Amino acid sequence: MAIIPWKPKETWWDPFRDLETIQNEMNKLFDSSLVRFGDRNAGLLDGAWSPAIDVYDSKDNVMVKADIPGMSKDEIDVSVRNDILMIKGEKKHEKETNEKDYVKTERFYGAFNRALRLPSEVDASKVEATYKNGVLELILPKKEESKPKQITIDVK
Amino acid sequence: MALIKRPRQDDCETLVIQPLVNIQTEGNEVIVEAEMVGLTKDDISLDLKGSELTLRGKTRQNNETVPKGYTVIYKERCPLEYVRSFVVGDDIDKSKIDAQYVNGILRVKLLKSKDAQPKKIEIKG
Repeated sequence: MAIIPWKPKETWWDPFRDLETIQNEMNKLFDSSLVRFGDRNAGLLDGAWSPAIDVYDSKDNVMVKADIPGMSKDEIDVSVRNDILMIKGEKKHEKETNEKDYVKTERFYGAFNRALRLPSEVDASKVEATYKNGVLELILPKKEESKPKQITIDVK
Repeated sequence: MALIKRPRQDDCETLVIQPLVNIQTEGNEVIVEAEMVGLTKDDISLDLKGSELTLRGKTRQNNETVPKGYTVIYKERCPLEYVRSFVVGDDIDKSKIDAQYVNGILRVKLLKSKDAQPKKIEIKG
């Protein structure tokens, strides 16, 4: 057997060390991108940020709730055309900081745009919007003509 | 523009997730900002056990999410439980931790203790 010159232990070539590194990296990747979104197709796959939305329906109104953390209400733009609702906005860094001052930056920044079809046409002039605790809540009154109509049938 | 279609979920399971954080240092302050959306101040707990700082928060449960008189058309906002722990270094003054919750962001301010700040040492000679 050849004599191998002595080296400090850390520099020995360990074939499993690289594998371990890869495994750690993969775990980190899945932890940070997939777990957060559950089965939603955002993050890793879309490469874009878009808020999660709920849509609720009642006789007179449609209610939409969206999770948009860390914005001010002026930065969110809501528009309605017929039965299409658009929520737009741009999340900016709150203030300029030297990059070296950041230890970790995980939060998403940038523009988002979501459009969705509402269950019926709504009156755009009467939309009520509130933004509280990072949740945008919209109450959109339905147009008279698109409300379900009750027809009484006389039984003779 | 294409409409984004996502499956309707009447009843999604509670997801336990780590809130995304930004950590930055500014002078002798360390600021941790965690995204924890849709909570109230009382839903959040911040515990320091030894040197481990844990943020917790639990949002809307399934039965509470649907507003009265409404039915679900579609749902992506599942109940969430936020948990994340950090190890706080010895240089942080553990008696001066301050937290604020605004617009879905929990902002925790930690101060470095006086002993940990860089000191200039005079060289005699």
